Amino acid sequence: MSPFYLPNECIQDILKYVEEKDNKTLHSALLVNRTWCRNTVSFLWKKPFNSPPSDSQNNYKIIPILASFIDDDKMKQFKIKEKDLPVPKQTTFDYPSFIRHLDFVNLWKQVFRCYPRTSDNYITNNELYPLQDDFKSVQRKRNSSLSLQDEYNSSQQKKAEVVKALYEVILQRSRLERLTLSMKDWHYPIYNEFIFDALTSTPNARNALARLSRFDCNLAATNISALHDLAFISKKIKTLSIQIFRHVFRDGHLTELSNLIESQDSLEQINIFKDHKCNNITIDLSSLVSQAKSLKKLKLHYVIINDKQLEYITKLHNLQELMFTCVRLDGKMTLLSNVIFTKLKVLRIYSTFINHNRENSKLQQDNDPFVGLIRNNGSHLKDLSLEFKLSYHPQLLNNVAKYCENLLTFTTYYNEDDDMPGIYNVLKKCSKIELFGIDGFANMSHKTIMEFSKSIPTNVRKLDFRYDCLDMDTLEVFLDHYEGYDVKYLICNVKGDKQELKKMIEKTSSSKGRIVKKCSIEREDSEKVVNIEWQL
Amino acid sequence: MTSESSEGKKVTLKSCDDVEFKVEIPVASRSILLKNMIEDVGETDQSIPLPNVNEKVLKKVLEWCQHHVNDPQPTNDDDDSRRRNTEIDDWDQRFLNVEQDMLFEIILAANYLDIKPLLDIGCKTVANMIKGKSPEEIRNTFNIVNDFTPEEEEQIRKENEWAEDR
Repeated sequence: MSPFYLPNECIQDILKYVEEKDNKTLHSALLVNRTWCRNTVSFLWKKPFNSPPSDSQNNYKIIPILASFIDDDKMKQFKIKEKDLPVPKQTTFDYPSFIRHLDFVNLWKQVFRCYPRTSDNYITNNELYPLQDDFKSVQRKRNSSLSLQDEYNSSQQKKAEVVKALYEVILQRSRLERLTLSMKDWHYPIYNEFIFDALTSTPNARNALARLSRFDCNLAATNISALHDLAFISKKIKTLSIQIFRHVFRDGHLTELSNLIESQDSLEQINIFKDHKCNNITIDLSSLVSQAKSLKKLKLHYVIINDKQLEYITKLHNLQELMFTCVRLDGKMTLLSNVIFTKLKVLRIYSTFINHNRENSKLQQDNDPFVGLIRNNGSHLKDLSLEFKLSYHPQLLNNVAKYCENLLTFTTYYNEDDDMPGIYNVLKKCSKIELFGIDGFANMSHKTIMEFSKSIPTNVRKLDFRYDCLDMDTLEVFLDHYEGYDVKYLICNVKGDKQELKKMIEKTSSSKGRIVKKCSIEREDSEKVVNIEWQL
Repeated sequence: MTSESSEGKKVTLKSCDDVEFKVEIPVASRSILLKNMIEDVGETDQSIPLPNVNEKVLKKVLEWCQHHVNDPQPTNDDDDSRRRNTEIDDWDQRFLNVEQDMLFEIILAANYLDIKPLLDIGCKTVANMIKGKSPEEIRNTFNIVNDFTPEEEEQIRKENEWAEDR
C-alpha cells in the first residue's frame, strides 16, 4: 500500500462526512499527524459547546484554552487575575477563531465546572495546562494551583466576568454563525441580567451578532432585553428556533419575538416549540407573514392554531416544509382544506388533532381539512408523515393513495387493525415510496405483523420502526415472515440482549436467504437501536 | 491505443500515459471541467489531454460517468443534504470496492475533473472507514506516517482533551 497522499482539500472533503457530533472520530483524526491535525482542527472546534460530549467530564477543560486568548488589558478590565483561572501561555492554534456555533449558557456552565466545588476535587494545574512548559514552570504552576481553592469561595460575579471575557474572545476572533441560549437544565436566577447584558452590549458583540444566521433560544432566556436588542442588531438570521415556557410567558403575543421575526431581511426557517404545560396560550403568528417571501420551513410544536392563526400560515406561499407536532387545530380549518402551497415537498403531522368536531370525532371527506390539504398539495409531496389516530380521518389514506404519487418517504401510525388496509393501499398506489416508517409496530398482533410483512411492495428499500420499542419476539416474527428481497435497511429499537439479538437477526435472515451486510446494535442499556443492512 | 465508447457525438480524452478514450459528450460532461472545456472549444478533432489521470483510473472514472450519465446535475442546494446522507447506493458501493490506492486515485481524479457526486461518494467511503477509529488505527488503515514529535502530540492532546469522551 502506498503512503497516504490525498491533498488537504480532499482530507477536508472527507471530514465533512464525519458527523459533526462525532467528536470521537474528529478527535482521533486530529491526532493522526500534522497534516490531518491542521485539516481537522476547524471541524472539531466548530461548535465545541454543543456537540456531545458537552456534558462529559472533560468538557470544562476547554475553558483555560480559551482563556489563554484573553489579552492582558482585558484581564485587567475584567478583573481577572492569573490565580483565578490558570491558563497556558500559548496554544498550537488560534482555537477560538474556528468557533461558528456558540451555546452561551453552556459556556457559562463550563466556567462553573472549571472551578472546584469541594476542596477534594479541585482541578490541578497539571490537568489544566498543556504540557508545553519545562518541568520548572509546571512545578511553579502546580504550586500556584493552591490558589484555585480560593475559587471555591469566589463570587458569582467573578465567574460572570470570566464568561464575559471568554465571550469577547470568541466574538473577536471567530465568525459566529449560530448563537444558542438554552436554559432548560439551569435555574434562571443564575443567569442574571449582569451576564446577559454582555450578549449585546459591546461593539464586538454587536458586530458579530449582525452576521448571525441562526439563533435558538428558549423564552426563559429571552425574557431579557437581549431579545429586544437582537431585533435591532441581527437582521440576517435565516433559522430561528424558539422554545416557550409557561412560567415566563403568559400573554401569547410574544411581542419581542414578533419584533425579532419582523426585523429580519429574509428568514428561511422558523421553529416554535411550546412547553406542553402552556395549554392555554395561543401564540400570535401574525409576524410570520412578514417573511412570506423567504420562509421555506415552518415547524410548530404544542401550538394551538385557531382559524385566525391558520390564515397567517396559509399566506406563506413559498413553504417547502411544514411540520405540526402535538398541535391543536381549534376551529373549522376551512382554509387548510383550500390552501395550495405550490412548493411544499415535506408535510409532517404528528399527534395533531382537530378540536372543532369534538362530538363527532370521525371527520368525513367533505369536512376533513387534512383531506383537502392532501388533495391540493399531495402531487408534489416527497415526504409525508401522518402520525395520529387515523380512524378519526377515515378518508385520509385513500386520498393519500390517490394524490401523493410522488412520495419517496411515508411514515404513519398504527392504532388498530382497521388502519392497515388504508396503509397497504398507500404503499401499493404510491409506487415511488422507498422509506416506510410506522409508529405503533410494537402494538401489532403477530397476525397483523405477518400480514404486514407480506404486504411490503418491492419499491420499499428502507423500513423504520424506531418510534417505539419492540420485543425481540416481535422483530423475529417480522423477519421470519418477510419473504421479499428488496428491503435493504431496517432500523428499530428493540429490547433484549445484544448477542442474542445479533444471533436472531443472523439466523432469521439466513433462513430466508438474505445476507446481513452490516448489523449495528448500539446502546448498552435494555433498549437497543438496531440498524440492519442486507446485501441485495 | 484507442478505446471507444458508444454512439453519439464524441470527444477524445487523453490520459497522462497517452491512451485515448473516445467518449460521448454527455458522458464526459459529468465532469464540470470537461463540460466547460467542450463548451468553450466547441467541436474539435483534437484530443483533450488529462495530465493528472492515468489510463487505469480514467477508464474507471468513465465507467462511473457512463452509469450516471442521466443523473441530474447537482445544484448548490443539494450540498447540505448530500453531506448529511452518508449512505452510498449499491452500484456505487460495488464500484468503489477497489484497492485503497485506486480509491484515492479516483478521489483525486474526481477532484481534478470536478465530478462532485463521484468525489462525494469517494469521500463518504473514506469517512466511513475512519469512523470510530483511534489515531493509530487510522494511521494503520491508510499507511499514514505520524510526523508529530512526542511533545507536539502531547500538547495537541492536552489542548483538545475537552473533546475526549470519557
